[in-house]
Amino acid sequence: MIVVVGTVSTLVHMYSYGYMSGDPHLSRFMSYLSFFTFFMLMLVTADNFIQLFLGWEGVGLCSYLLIGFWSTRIQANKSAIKALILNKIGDFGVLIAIVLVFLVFQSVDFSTVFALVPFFFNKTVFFLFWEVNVVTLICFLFFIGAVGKSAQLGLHTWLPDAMEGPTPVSALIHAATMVTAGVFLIIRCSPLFEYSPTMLSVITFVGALTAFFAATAGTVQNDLKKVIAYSTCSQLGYMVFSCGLSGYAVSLFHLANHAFFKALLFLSAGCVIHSLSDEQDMRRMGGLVKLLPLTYTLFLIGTLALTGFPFLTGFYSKDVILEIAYTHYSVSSLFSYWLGTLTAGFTAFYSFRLLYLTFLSENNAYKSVMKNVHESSWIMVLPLMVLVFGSIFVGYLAKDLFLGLGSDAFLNSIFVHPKNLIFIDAEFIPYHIKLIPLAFSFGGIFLCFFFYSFLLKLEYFWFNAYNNKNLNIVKVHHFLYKFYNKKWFFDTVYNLFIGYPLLKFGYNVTFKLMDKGVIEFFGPYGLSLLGYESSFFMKTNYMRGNLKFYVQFMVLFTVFILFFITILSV
Amino acid sequence: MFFLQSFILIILLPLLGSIVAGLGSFLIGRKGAALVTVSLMLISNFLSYIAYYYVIFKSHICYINLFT
Repeated sequence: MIVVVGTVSTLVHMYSYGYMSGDPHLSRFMSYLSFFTFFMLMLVTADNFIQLFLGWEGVGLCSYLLIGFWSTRIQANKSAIKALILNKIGDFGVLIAIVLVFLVFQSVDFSTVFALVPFFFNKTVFFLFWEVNVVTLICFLFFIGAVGKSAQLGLHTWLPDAMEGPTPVSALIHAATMVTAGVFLIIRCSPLFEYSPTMLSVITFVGALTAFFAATAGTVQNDLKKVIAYSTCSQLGYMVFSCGLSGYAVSLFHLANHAFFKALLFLSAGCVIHSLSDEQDMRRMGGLVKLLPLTYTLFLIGTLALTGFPFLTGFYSKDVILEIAYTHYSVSSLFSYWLGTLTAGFTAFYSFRLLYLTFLSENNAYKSVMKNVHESSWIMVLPLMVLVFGSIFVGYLAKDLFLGLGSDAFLNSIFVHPKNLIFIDAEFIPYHIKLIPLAFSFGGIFLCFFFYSFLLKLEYFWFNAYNNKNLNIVKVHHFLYKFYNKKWFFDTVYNLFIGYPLLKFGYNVTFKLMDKGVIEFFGPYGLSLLGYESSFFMKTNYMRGNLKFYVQFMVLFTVFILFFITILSV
Repeated sequence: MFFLQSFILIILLPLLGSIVAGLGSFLIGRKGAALVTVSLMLISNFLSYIAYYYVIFKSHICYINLFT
């Protein structure tokens, strides 16, 4: 994991030196990047929960700083604060979990806690008036943290919006390292999760749903980087559900592979954006294969590795994940197997849609933009070359190291309960079952080319020929497009039912009633008004130059003062 | 064995780079800051490969205790 973080981070540092060379705040950017790397390394090398939590918070902070790096853009600021808030929900879960771990095990050291788990797995604890299994509860709270950090379904909405940051940031933080921190936490806490079958199936369901949701939402996004962001989300879903099926090693393997090819994809997308003068909309690209052959080659290799093309990196880990999903023979695993296989098809579809719209289709860009298209400088291409080698060979080279039976690479840091050990069974499933994900991938690729080079034109032709808006295929297409393009209306629902009521509450209750109402009335404004009003009242009613009143008041208050003095002195 | 002592540098070199680039950039300039961070990251990355070799291939059990 250190190697993954270190390698990708170094390459991204080099790349961003080229990418951001025109920016006046280059030194601040590099400083943030290094700071992020420090926290990420701290997270992965931690040997206790406190240090892990420090790294966990630190990467969240650096993510906020880097998303909002171009702080003059309102959209960047909004995305940054969104990422921070949604991450904070997850952090809260982790914090409670660490407190619970300390309460139960009297230690926060990994080795101590994990050695003690088997003695505590039947213990129950009262939490929110419920009696729950303590290991399940701890795992659940850690999983909330993982959901927040790894952008699983529910708290995923920050990840696509985080693409407002500079492209190297998207590559380093939101593809290769930070978003995998949640998966890393699950893998690191494998002895805890193994003793909680409930949580394992919950993880499987959530991971599979995330993979499917993100893949479908990614198919119709128009922003170049958002498609890749959804693809990241979907691959994180794969990692999480393979954790749920006790395939921690393969999850870590997929994490490492994914870091390579997704960083490659993001960085080459950055090259495209850079050469098109910061144009991100895919609809205004096209035909770049003749102008940017090198970037096209890099992009193609990244895409093929992502879709699981045979013998590239993604193939070795993704197919193994689906194989163990098939072998587990439980409800959750069957669910995740079919969603995962469908996701493989969708992945191929949107990846090749990206490739097609950017590089292969007819050109839609402005002439002024196209005149300035150029290949990137060598300092930007060099890291990409290294990542290309990673994307092609790492899967093959590290396959036996990570997944080989009896490989002692991880020593005891990954624990799989003997009951859940299914790697051997996964080797013996029928050959045609192993080919199903591959078939789906190729189907997705074929469908993409069919759809974009033929079906859309046909539909357009029908639409014009019949001049009839009620044509069924158009209706279906429109419905699907709207539904997926709006990300299954997650953002809308959140805004309507959580964001907007909270904002209203904040304005009407806490601001208008509390701050401006109660506190202001009984506080500073009310007190000063009281003095002013009472003196005004005295002046108008009594202090009219009438000597009799003055003498009366003098006598009255002298008596009062004497009275109090006598009381106090007694 | 010398390298086993220096694994803490894997973590601390990026921090050093960050501090130098963030706080000292008025001394070394934009390009200098980038150069410092990139070179420190390269050293850290090189050390991480050595750590990888020791931990994964040679099965050393290795903890990095950081101020705890």
